[in-house]
Amino acid sequence: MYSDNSKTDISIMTDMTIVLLVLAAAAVYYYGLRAALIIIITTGVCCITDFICIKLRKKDTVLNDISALVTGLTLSLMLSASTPYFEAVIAAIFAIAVAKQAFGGNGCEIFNSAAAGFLFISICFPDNILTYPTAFEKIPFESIVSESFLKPSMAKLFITTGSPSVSVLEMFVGKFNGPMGTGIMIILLVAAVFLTLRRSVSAIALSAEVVVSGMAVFLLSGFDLQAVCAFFSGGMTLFGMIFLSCDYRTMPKTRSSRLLYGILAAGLTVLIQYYAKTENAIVYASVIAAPFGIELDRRALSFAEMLKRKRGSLFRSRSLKNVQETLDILGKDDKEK
Amino acid sequence: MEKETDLVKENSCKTIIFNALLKKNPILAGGMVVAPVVITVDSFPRALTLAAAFSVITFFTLLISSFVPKSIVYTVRIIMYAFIGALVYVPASIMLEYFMPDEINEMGIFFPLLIINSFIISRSEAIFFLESKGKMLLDIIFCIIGYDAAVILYGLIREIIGSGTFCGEIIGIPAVFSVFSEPAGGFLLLGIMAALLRVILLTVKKVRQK
Repeated sequence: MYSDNSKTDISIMTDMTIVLLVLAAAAVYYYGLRAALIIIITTGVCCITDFICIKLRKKDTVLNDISALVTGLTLSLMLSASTPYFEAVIAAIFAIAVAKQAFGGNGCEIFNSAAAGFLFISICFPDNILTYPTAFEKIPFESIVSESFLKPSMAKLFITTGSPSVSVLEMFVGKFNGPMGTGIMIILLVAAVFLTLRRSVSAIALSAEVVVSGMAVFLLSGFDLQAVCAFFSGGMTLFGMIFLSCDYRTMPKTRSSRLLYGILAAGLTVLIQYYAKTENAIVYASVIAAPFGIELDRRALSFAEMLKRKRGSLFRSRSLKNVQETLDILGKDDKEK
Repeated sequence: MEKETDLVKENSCKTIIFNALLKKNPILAGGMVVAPVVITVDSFPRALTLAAAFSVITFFTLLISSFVPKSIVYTVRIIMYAFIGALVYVPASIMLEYFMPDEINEMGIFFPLLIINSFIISRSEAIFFLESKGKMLLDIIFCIIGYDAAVILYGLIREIIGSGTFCGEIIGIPAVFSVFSEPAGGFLLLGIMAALLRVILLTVKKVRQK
């Protein structure tokens, strides 16, 4: 069980899968069958790699463990619709074999495996991974798509020019150059509400991330609401906040540490995007913030223990004081008698 | 009786060599002197440079340090090892800069930092006062060979998969993973190599037991 509430792993994973499948359907509608092919390849390779790794580690396969499916779907939606198939396969293998199974498998990861897989290929093959086709354009099925189809993302243009290149309406429906399934704000907002109400995503961490980063961008952009919308829809920010940094596998367990974790992830996202001028800042931020989550939990527990000890000694001293007072009163009464 | 003692000696020497090269390999099993490897060794020529620099400085520093008596206080002993390392560094740097000036310059701060590497401290404190001079020398020589072999193999693999070249020449491999040229990828590759060594050792152990 990942969470401290009553939800089970399979329940959280099922909720995630439902939302990710909706986003995958939207990606196929926008980018055609090539997008479907990439989603199938990435998810399939993730599941097969997970199965092979579990067998190699001589562990029993759990039928209701669909974490590899969730990782595969998350990773595929973060990719460009023009990603070469070979690179999608490499990302999936890295995400499962190195970022998940090498750390002990499901529930033992120190950072989100899909984020790690994406970062690995975005550093290895930046030209193919960080250029995107236009929505509703017919993309050829060849593994390597011609450069004439590809353009930099809306997030990249927003970072370099400082102003968004598309309207707010286009941002809400995801009609701009970017990863396949991470920019459709309207679906992501519904997904955030659905997952929060179903307790599959931590409401504290998610709201802290959204509020802190939103306010920071609002101030940094000179009170421009369109820039705030561009920040959340481009660079997979809102998608990353829901599926990467609020992943229950890497999320701290206590409420106070979740709040701090959310603020930390938001701060890192804004810093990386505005000062390092890097697109997809949330992916880097989630990978950097995740190990701090474990430390925050540890600190929260030791702080709680310290409080408990202090309260204990306080109660003892109070009770002793009361006893002394009672004894004094009794002594006075005796003398009066 | 003499045959038996010879056999014991041979076995112990074999164990020392096996431990130094594989089982207790300074870098892949001990994780020592990792920073210069990850930061500077991104190609085969750079691996050779680090191997040469490490071998010369470490061997002579350890050799001279073995004469430091045990009666000296531990803290002072450690300071003396650092002094000896600094002394060895002067002729070693002159010699290495004569043979490979550009490569040594490319190593930057990591070259002089080799004089206080963790391997010198651990070896000098772990074996000098426990083993005979002969065994100690054997251990040092094979540990250095083990380190050098691991570094050269690491540099070779890192250059091929990270840059798609060998000694600067393009060899035309189908995919180049440029992340392995970065420090993050360097750590990852070192971790994979350490894990593979562990797998090999476990397999050898199982085969021997059968």
